[in-house]
Amino acid sequence: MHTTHTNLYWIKRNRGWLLLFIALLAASVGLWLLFDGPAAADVTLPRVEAASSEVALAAAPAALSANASAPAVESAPAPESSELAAVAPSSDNCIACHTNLEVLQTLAEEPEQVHSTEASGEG
Amino acid sequence: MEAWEKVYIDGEAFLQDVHATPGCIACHGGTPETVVKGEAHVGLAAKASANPQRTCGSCHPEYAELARTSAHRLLPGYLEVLKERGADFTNPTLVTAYNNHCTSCHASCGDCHISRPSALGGGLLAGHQVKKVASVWLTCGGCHSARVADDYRGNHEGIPADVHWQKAGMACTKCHTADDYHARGHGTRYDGDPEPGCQDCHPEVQPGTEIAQHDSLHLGMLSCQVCHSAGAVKSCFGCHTGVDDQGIKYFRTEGTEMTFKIGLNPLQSPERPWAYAPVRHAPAAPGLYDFYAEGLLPEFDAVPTWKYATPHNIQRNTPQNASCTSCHGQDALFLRAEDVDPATREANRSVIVPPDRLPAPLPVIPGVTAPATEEGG
Repeated sequence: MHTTHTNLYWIKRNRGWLLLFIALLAASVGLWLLFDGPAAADVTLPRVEAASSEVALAAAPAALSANASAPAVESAPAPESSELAAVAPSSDNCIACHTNLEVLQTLAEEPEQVHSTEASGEG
Repeated sequence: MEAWEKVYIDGEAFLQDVHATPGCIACHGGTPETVVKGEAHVGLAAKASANPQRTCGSCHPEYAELARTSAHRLLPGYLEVLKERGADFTNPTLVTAYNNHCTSCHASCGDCHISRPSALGGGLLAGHQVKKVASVWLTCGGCHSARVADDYRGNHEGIPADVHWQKAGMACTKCHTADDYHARGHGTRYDGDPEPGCQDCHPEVQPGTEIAQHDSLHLGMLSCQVCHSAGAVKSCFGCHTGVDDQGIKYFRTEGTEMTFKIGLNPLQSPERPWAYAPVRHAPAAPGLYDFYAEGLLPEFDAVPTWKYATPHNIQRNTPQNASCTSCHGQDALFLRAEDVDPATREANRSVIVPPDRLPAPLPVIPGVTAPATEEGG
């Protein structure tokens, strides 16, 4: 009896935190379902075209499909759209540098072009 | 273009634009808390639209959907032809070879609307402004240069520019609509009706009209470009791929030639019924992937290496339509067995014009001369 009373008291005292926790949990599950869950496969993998453009994708393995869906990029993948929807961090530092001719002329570098000595011919 | 120009953002033009509203980080990621270049670029996605669903698609879901299946993005023509040549895309070795060498031309939203093609050195088109209509020469011509833009602008010595550019100044977008650019990727670009078709704008080209050569025989037998392509186009030969001992992927091609050859139409269909069409050599070779493993294209001969072509160097008057005898009896205009590398003759059997299908020389009739030709294009 005493234990039950203690538990109720603890719950009442922490009701706010519990509600917040439950809300956060529900929001996380919702976001997962929306962007990373099973439905996301339909977004990132071109199933529609796999069904209707057999040549392009139906016979291709997952690696190729993924490549066709999201061609290789030079750097890290773009942020999730959930980040787009949220308030993005300030871009002030990016803008300050990329609109400043003097800074760019000092810092900008041409990416190193890597050419194989084995390569030959046009194309 | 200098390195700094490639990454310079036009503060006035771009930052006032709605596309600047989400902020840089929203699309490109990165590390915003620092002003140290190396640190700020940690986690940066330079090509933010590589996955359009997650960036451009946030506001333009309809275009992101189109991009997901776009021919420019998926390059289904490569897959189509490789499959026909026997490529087994369940074979990891083949997939590695393909991914190493044949996917670098993919174009996402930003590759056309924001940036210059990497083939031109990359960089922003105009201070990160988002161009609704892509730059014809920097964007379209940046990727389709040797086989389209150079022909169209008359960059090949001795061959005039296409009359549609030379006289009418028509940009690519005049004939190729936005729907074409964003079209779903399936098959090759020659699947379905010709889009655009010459007769879409020239419906008067019909038998029985003022031009005698536009009779049912010629119109039925010849694609328009057979008579109206003004000269040679670039053919590329051979392509071998590999990875060197530094781990750098490479191509070896066997050179290019300017060629004008009329072959049997390899794509004869109700939409393209003509028996003859110009052909050009694609950079294809049986040993394309031999570095990775031999026999990855076991059915190489199933597809010609001289492929259907629609040269963009159209003129009304051309060397081969100057008179009847400019074509009839001119065997060298046609793709004959001796024009084809013996190693690929079997592959090209369907496009090589056999001797009995070469237009025979016309009989000489005393007192009859070839028709006069008009000047101009």
